[in-house]
Amino acid sequence: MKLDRRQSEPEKLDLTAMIDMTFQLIAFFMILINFSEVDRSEDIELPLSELAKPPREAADHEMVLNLLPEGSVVYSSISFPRGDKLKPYFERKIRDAKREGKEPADIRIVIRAHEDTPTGKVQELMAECEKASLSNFALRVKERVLGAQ
Amino acid sequence: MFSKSLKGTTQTPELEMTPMIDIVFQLLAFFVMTFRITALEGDFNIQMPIQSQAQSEIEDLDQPIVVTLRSGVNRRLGGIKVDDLPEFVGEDMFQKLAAEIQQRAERQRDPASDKKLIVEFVIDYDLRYSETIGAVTAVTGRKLPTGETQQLVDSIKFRDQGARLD
Repeated sequence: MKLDRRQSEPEKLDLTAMIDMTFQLIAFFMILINFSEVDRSEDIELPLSELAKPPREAADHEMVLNLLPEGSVVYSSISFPRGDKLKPYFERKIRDAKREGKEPADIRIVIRAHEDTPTGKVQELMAECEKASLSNFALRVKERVLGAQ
Repeated sequence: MFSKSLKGTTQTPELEMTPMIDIVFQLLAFFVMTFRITALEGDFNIQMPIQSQAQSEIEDLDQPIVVTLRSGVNRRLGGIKVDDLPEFVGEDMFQKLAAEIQQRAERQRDPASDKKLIVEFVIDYDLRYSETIGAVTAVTGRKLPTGETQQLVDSIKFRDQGARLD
């Protein structure tokens, strides 16, 4: 039997739709990726509040301090047994801010404390910051979703 | 024009898609694997004495409402005291605190007055941080049915260092 020559040609697959969809998926994940998670400690369970609102604008100078219940502080993925060990980091941050004409009060100290931490330990950490003339604090909390516990 | 050979036959140029698809899928796999759904986080702004010293004298003249948080069983909130009022105890402490602050806020919402409503917290050293945040939430404001937040106080301060209120 004689075969039709046209049948032996490889069939072309239209990839346009698949590529369109794949690029859309990539765009979606790229937009949602959160690089700020490097500042977050995995061990911290933040307290909940229904009034939690993400800051409207990011501060130019910010330090995110993670406070664990026993009083150790995690900053930039480095663990410090006590808040007073952060003094050189505070000084460096103040130097960086001053180079841009900012005052220490312009540096926002974001405290991410575990919900079981004694409040006194949070205040001790704030006192350490105050010793370095840092007085602009933000206590970070997690949004309480309505209807959830 | 370029697709025509000299002999006049038509040839469409072949675009090699395989490397692009490889890369695109690798990118997609990276983003899918690093993607994590996290709950929304927000901040409560707190002023400490250094900053308040630098503020205007008018604000310094405003007397803050002193809210004292006492630690109770299992470091849970045992009682809330607002200035010299009798201590709030029981399940509905936060509601009572919010009602008291709202009452004072409404009293001070006199357009002729430029007085600011400041709340200063005196907190038991051992009190769980979650309880402190509960009290800070109660004085900060309330969620309206429209979803917006009604701000009650202008400023929140912590009195330096946790006190032992035994």
